[in-house]
Amino acid sequence: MKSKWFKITDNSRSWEEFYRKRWNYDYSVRSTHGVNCSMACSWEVFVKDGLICWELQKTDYPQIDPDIPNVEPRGCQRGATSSWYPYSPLRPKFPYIRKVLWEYYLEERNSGKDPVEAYGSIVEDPEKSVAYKSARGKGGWSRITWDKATELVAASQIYTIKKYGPDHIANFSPIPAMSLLSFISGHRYNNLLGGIYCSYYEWYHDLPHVSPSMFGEQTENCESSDWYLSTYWVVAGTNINMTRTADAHFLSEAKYRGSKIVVVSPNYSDVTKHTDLWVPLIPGSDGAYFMACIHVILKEFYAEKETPYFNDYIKKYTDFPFLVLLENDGNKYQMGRFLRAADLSEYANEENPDWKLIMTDGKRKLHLPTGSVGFRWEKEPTGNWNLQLKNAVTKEEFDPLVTLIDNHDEKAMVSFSDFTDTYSHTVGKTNGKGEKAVEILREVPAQKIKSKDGSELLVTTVFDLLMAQAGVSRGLGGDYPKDYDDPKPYTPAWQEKLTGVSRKLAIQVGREFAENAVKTKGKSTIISGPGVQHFYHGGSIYQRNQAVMLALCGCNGVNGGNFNHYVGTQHTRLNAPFVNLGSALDWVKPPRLMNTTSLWYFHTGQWRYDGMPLDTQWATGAKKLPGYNHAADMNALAVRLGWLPFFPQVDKKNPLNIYKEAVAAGCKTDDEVKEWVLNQFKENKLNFAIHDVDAHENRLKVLTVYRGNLIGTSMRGHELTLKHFLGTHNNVLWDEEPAKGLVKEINWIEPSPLGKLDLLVNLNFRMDSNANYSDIVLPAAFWYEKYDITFGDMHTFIHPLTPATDPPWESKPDWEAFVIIAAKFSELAKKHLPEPVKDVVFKALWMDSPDMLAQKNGEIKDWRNGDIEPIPGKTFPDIAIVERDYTKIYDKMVSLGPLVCKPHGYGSKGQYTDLTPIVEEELKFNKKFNIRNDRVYFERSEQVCELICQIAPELNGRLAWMFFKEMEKKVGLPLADLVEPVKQKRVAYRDLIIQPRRIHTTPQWSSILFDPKTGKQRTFAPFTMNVERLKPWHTLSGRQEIYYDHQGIRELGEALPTNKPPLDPVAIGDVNLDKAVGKSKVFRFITPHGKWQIHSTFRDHWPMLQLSRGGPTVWLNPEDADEIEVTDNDWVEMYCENGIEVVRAVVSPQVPRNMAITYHQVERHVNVPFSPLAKKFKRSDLRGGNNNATTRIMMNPHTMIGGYAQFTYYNNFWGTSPSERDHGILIRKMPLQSGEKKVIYQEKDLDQLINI
Amino acid sequence: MKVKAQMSMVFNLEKCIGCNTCTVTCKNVWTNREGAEYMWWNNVETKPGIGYPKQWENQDVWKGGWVKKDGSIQLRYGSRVYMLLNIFYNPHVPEMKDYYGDDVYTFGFDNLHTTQEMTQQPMAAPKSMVSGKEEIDINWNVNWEDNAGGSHITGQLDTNFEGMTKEEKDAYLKFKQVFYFYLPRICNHCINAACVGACPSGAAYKREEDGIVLIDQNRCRAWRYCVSACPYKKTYYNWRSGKMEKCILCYPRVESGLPPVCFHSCVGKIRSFGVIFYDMDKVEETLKVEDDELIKKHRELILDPFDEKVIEAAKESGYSDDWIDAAQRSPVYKLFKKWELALPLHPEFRTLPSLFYIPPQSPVTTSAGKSSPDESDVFDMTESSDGGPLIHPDELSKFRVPLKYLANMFSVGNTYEIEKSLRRQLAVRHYNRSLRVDQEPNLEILEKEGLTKEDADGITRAVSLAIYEERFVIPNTRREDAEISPYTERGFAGFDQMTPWSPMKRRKSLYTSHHTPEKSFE
Repeated sequence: MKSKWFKITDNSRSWEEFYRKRWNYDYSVRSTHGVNCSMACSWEVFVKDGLICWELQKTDYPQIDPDIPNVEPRGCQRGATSSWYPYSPLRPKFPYIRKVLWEYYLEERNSGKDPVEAYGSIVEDPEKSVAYKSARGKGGWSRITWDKATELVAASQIYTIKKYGPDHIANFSPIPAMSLLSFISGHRYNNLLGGIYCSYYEWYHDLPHVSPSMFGEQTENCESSDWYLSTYWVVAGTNINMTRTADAHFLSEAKYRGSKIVVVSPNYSDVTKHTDLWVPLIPGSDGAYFMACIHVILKEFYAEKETPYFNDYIKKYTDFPFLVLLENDGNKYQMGRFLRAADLSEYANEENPDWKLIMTDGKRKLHLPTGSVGFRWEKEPTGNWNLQLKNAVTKEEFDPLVTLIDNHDEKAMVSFSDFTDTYSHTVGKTNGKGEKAVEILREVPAQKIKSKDGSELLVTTVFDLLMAQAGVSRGLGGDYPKDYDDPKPYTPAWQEKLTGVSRKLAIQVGREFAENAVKTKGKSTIISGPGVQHFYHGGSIYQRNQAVMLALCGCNGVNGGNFNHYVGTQHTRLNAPFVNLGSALDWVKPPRLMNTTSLWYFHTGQWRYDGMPLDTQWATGAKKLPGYNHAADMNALAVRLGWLPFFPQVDKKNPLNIYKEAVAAGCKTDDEVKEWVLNQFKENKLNFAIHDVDAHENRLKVLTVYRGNLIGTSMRGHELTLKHFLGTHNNVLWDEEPAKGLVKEINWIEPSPLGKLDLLVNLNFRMDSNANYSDIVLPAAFWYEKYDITFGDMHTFIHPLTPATDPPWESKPDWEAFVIIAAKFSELAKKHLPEPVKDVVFKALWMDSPDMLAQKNGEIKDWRNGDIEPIPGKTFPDIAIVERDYTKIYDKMVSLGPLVCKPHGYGSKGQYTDLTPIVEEELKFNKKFNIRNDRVYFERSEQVCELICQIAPELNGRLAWMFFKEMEKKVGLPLADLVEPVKQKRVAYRDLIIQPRRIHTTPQWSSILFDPKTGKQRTFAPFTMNVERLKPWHTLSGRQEIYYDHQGIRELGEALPTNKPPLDPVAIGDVNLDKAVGKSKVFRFITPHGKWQIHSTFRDHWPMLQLSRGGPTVWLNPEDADEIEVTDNDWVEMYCENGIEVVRAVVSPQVPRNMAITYHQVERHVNVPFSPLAKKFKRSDLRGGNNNATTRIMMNPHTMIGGYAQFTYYNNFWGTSPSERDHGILIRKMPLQSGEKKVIYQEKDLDQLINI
Repeated sequence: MKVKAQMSMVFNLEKCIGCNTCTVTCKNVWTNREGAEYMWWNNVETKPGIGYPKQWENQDVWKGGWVKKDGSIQLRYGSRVYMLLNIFYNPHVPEMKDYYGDDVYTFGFDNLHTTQEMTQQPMAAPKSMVSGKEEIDINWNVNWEDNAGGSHITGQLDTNFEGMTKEEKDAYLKFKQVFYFYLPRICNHCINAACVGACPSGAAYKREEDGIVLIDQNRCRAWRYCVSACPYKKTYYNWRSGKMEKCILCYPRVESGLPPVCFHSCVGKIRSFGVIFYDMDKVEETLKVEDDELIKKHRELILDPFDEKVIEAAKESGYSDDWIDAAQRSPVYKLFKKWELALPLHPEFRTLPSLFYIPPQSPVTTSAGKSSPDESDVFDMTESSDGGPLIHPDELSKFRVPLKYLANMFSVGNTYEIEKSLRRQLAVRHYNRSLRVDQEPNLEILEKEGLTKEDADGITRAVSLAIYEERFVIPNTRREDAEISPYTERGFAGFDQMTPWSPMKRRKSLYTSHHTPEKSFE
């Protein structure tokens, strides 16, 4: 085959062996990256010459359906760089301790003190503790042995437990899904100690609050392959290409399949390149835009014509037909609570009558339909917890009225609140400190009914209230807009001035979205992200409007539809093993679950900088809550009513001593102790620690962080944290603490305490900011060096991490590390805590338990003010007495405890069963485990992985069947048939190593994953089980809840979908325009997920730094940049009262004006120079901070409501979030040293730093 | 007819998400070493922009590719004589500043473990990866313009705006009309490779069996003419080995039927890989046609693997049944030749690339706004289409990416080929929507674009549903055709140097062949 077009060499081509030899490798293993990105990709890691050399995606996922694209190859650019980490110079290879602390410790030990005494004498010495705390973050490392490091860690915990109590120790490690075993390891250990179990989901602001409040689920969303079935996509505030990289292909694939794609995004983001229609709205105006879409849908598909598909859907699956009381308020009405069985003579004798809601039919008959939460928690289930439209008492089927428009007795004038002008959407343009809401009066059709006591009640439906709220008049009187062009809430014209986009865009999208849903029976979807959610009102209002829009179009619970939010990795698919092993529930209950946002808000001193009164947030008719007009006060109320937890618990009391004191006072039983404790509270002899949170005895003392980067990544108010929590350098600019005088419930200590935390321990494979600021750094095994299990919410497969090599140097897998700490702890405890002790544990009211029925009618009754009696577990936190034997921590850590083998002893999310048959008939015959003392032992990490598989209903079909059998008792309809065909199927850990396996349908999840009759697989779409099998949602009504009738939510004006603008940081005081230096401009500061990092991981090795701009950046519009004389790649300083960050500008026309984008997470350990501004303001921290330097935790009161149906706390299910997007910054061009025009990086050159 | 097989590729820019997973996996396997720091055999650029190295497309600067001159095809660089005259000083070669600005950078991570007790936080500052020089400035790299970073400046130098007025260009580089998309690039393994044509040492060559273009690491003398001649700037100089290196299309994988790592790892699933047959005898005339004819002729050069005559000729050229089968299943054949969706990048360089791109669809927007939405400026982008929620093929002028820009990239400025591809993609979307939403197939819209229902279903499969084995159809290299009998070789594999200093001498076989006349050892 000779030809002149080919160079035919005479030489042999044997040189080609050159590259072939590179491709040759010794072996490969299956593993992945335990990083918090949700994508859960299976990778093949290649080992050559004993080194981990490269990785490629595995492509062997089982196929779900040949007509849906496969999920291969999963894995992105970031994951593909992982093999740069194992041998990186960044990696801590040995245990480190800061020299100052180590020398003190050695000194004390050499003087004859044992480890616990030695530790105590350092931390209680004011001079020494200031010395080692102020050295945090400033290098000065000493290498120590694992033995010494674990000794000090265990000693610190024993000292703290003895002196202050186990509720002064905390453990932070996020996101079980990314590596479940590693997650379990530290938490299991900590929960056996009785330490604080820190949440992460709402702390990351990734919890979409609408999901618990509207659906009663922490998070349910489609796996990405289900998107393919949708024919109308609205992608809002999420950059799928960037953050769901492995799933982004479904978008263009669905596009070819005929789907229309709408992107709602302020900037021309990556995903915008695919879109058919771009809605470039102003950041934070999504709520307004979607309210206008709702207006259009209600008008065109409900008011002007009847749409049968929609009508049938909302009757069955939403609370729209339920009746709501209207409360007389002078010449108008206020929206009240739901009408209940307890209100009506014919139903008042039902069990739990306050928790069963009422509908009416067209014949004025009031019905008690099945399905409300009251049916769920009956003592003996009647099987009426289901969504049949059937009267639970009369057993008749009925057709509920959704609207009273043709059946009303009167037109009631109802008060609504308009928050449009409370804050300006443009930072700094708010009127003063913000305005209060304005009242709008609109008529609503209403019926009169007779109450149990004979009085007359006025009621309407949820649907009629929403029509009025949305401004669709149907001929009713009041302040309704005339048409789409009338700029009253919430018309397309109204949204225009807030969103900056044409009214035509809202009309078009609202209309097309609904039309598509009609034609396809609900296959319109909204994919929603942090760009919507991360605002103060994001999860509670903006995303809620999207979810309600979907409900109105019958899209939730349909394959190809659904409210799809992908923020955080919260589908902990193997939920029951995660909950039970991680919380150590097999040994001890309850754990000290804590909503972490509040924990840091108080313990890092940030509450003192919260200058925001809540005036702007109250509805015009609010009466009760305005008495608690600050987030800190609201939080204190929430703690004492059992809505939210808080630790340490009791003011200046060790919970171990409380028990002893009670016994000394004559208590003989645990119940007597509980009563004694309550009386002490009633008599004001005991108080909650939160009321004096800065007191020395009420501080958090020891914190362990692993698999996470608390200090460098998630800590909003980073500089405030450096100052108050860690006690080291900071560049906080505040001149005074603005909460002084505003906060009433919390004791104000002057001066504010610095360095509140005694010890920060970190297990890490990177020398990142968290490691940098820790006292002890333990070297962790890399992901490619350990056994673990991973999964995510983007697909339904479970797959493993397996070691490619043993952990190099002295690094250890998390499980192994905590097992040896536990061993050391148990050994030291023999001297210091030799006998079992009793621990008094305060527990908030918990979701998916009978606590959901704690506070009836959602009324706020503050027992401290005498509104009601404090009753533990009802109007006061539950009090539990727990026995702990601290000498047996190791033994318990590595063996399965007896509590799971009790009736209802094992499970999660309110679905429980007795694990005995699995333990006795399966686990004890499984040769993977060691059986001793008639118990199942699992010292080695592969053994725990096997245990996780065997006790996960998602992988053990028999267990799924057992759970369904239990659930059938409540629901009263067949469900176990869903898993009958997989009843014999069990997946071993070894099977996962061979090939990823798909999960079974289980009651822990709301999706039907395959048709039991045909065996055909279905993609995961949430709520298909609710829609098709009539299993209720976990809400008050059992339906998708549109109306939130809790008094607190009504007083926030958020009972119905609404809109509130994002906060204005200038109005609140965080941006002080008087401190603007030189040519500065104020921007809204937006911190989305980036392309070249997963949070802080992958951002700090050269491959990603070469593919990006090589360090921290901010993206600016060219015209804005011109205004402050900045050009592309200039260094700039970004600052506000909370701190200073130094970055380089990326100037790009894809960014709109007034918006500064910093893709998080920017840390301070790579390419961060010193800041002239910090020098000018004479701050102790001269290095430009990370992207949380300028932020601060801001908590929304909506998220604190508790003790009431789905508004009930559970870890990562509900609670406060810090707000990511309601921040503002000033930006100026950074002045450089004249002459060289260089930035100053190193301490030795600090004298050259200019002072302008 | 002289049939040649060529490993060929299609990148679907509609699907590309610019993630650079391809870039990273390639780097990891092939160029993660001293001497290769700045080499990115695969890179992804954001367009508009000037790319890596800077302005590679601008042949006024770099003189790459071929030109039609005096009825023949010559290297733009100049004659062989001119080349030899400049052999010790080649004036048209990019320097480090064109690749990385000041220098290839890493960071001083060691600082973070310091035992020194400091007054401020330690930090890893940038330093040169090559020389170790501390605190260098960072001002360019392989992906500097990512997501239109700085594109209002560099976009001004983008040659694909050619033929548009200054005002038009400026408008596209402002928020109101901004657009961008990604352009992943590897070596095009051209049929008429300029690097091969320019190499004075005969080190660059095109493999007989599969058309992969390689540089022999033994023969290369690093004259760097391949860099100058390659209009895509896809060969690189290794300062450590003193040799030129380039994308090898992962031949060690391709020979085993695996796609290159950048294809395997493409998480946007934009890449297809397959064999095409072309007619060697037609190459020369194809190269010599006018600009407007280039794509048409290039398609004609590709042979129909179902045609009996082609099959016969392929067999004559020595291709086995499984290669013919692979050519018939080749996604590249379908996307480039059959459905005419894919186009070569800058065909005017006349290298006959083996890599084809499906041009991107783009958001339909018209804007009444000023420069940016704010409280006084409302964005209006709603000229809704008559054809329902999707834009109609007749409304291409509403596309945000200007057709002229795409035409400058993929069809020598002529919008006809671009429009055809975009219209066909749109027609398939309409057809599929009519099936799924309206439950009534709209065949009319397909017919208008010259597509049948089978075509539309095939396109949907190829660009949407195709699984790994459909995206990558790769026949094995026929190892049994090698010089030494595989019967013998399997035991020796890896023992090619039995003595450390010299290759083993081996007899070819103990056995006589019963099958192939020219081989005695099978």
